[in-house]
Amino acid sequence: MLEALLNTDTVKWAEMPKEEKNGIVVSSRVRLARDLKQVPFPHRLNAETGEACVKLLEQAWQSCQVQLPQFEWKNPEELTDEEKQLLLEKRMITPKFAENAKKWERLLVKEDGSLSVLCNEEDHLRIQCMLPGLALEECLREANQLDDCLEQVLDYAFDERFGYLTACPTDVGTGMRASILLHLPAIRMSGQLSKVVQNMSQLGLNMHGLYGDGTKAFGNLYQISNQITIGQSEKEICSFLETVAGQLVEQEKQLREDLKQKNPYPFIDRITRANGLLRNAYMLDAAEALSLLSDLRLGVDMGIIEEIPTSVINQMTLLSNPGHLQRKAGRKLSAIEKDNLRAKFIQEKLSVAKTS
Amino acid sequence: MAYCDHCKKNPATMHMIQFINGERTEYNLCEECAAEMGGSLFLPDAQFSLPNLLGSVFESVLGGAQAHKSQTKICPSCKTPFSEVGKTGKVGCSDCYAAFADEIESSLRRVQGNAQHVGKIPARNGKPAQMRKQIERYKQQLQKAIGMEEYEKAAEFRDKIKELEKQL
Repeated sequence: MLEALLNTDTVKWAEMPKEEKNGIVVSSRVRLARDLKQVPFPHRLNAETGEACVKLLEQAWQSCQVQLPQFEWKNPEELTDEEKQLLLEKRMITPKFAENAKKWERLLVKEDGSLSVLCNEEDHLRIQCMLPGLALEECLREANQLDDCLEQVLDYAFDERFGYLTACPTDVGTGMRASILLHLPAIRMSGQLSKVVQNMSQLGLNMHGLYGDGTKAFGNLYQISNQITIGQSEKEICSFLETVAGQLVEQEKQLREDLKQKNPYPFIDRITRANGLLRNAYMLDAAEALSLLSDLRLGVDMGIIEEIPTSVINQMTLLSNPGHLQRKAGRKLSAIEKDNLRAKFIQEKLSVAKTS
Repeated sequence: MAYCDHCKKNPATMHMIQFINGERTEYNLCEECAAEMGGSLFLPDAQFSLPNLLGSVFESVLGGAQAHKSQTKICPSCKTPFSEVGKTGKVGCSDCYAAFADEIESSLRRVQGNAQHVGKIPARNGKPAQMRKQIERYKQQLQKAIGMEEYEKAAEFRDKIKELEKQL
């Protein structure tokens, strides 16, 4: 089941959003941290307590299995490095889980990759839901359902004052981290990014690049997330985040129009050039591919080049990652081969998108 | 085309600036060597470490004599000393929250501006919390009913409150 997901160039959050308002909001995510009473937190587990804790969690999953038929329980030891890399690139696991999972860590995952639970990583449970487009409310609802299911069996550590008790006190309260992934090329091009990042932190939000860091994000993909986890309800946090994302979208749209009006020739040239390179290049390195795909996404959003579905652009972005490239090629690749196949696979995607 | 300074084989696609003891070195690297040297394009969710930041907040919140007293506290359940929480930013078990309640509360106020949970309550393990919350809601409705002079309704709410308080 997980095998099927690993063999695709996509994952739930990269698919077409239900209602596509614009291409600026890529995806939404909600993550809930939950820990058990009377069990040491994951970083304090040892071989003995770790095994006991896994047993508790696995039993809980088994008793929920009827309600969760499309889920699979995975021991990271059963996964190859390549498979972990794929899950990492699909944003379903953390680098820590991919590189250095302890004996007592587990992964519970839904077949379409929309829901996953990391067990005994930072917390006993980290329930995550990721969906395409602006969909925090739906992410929260789905994560809550899974949470309720597991809580029927597991004794969560909960306190009336502090809320859900988590391994790290910065998560305490709701235990929730919500985030929205946005494509913000115009904000970056107009030099306003550092100002926006600063504004976000004043609003109690965190902003950083999906690939690379805050100020130098490849592909202009940025994630905003809440820093506050206590004193506000989950719904309040989500709706605030969606409001801020909405403002960023407006700002981005405005700046796109400004850029186009001020310098229409170079602006359009940049996009048509990216389109040409993506369709004809023999080699594309990762940084170049991400940057050209960003220009392409921008061009499609603004109607400068013909329609290419968001899902296809997302697939090409995923395919620019080394794990996905090697999976599709079916073997380990040298750096030069990667650049060559990256170009080839992107062209395949683009030619299919054109005819469909 | 520029080649990677490290392997001298692949085309350089990344520029890396390294500071070691204040000394600045610049490299042009290929993706593979850059990854080896700790700089990768594909590092999802690379965030600066909040736990460490929290550790320093613990220190700044608890100045002077209080700090000394806190440093010597130990969680009775998991034996984690508070000094370790300050260093790692992580507590050892759920009982640590009771053992270090004052320290955690004041640092939460400082970092998050609040230390009272108002969100979701678990169905099973949060039953008392849920009942107390319901009582609060009934009390508000009771006041409202009295204000509107709807005494029959008010009596209903009063009975519901009594019933819940008995169960607690």
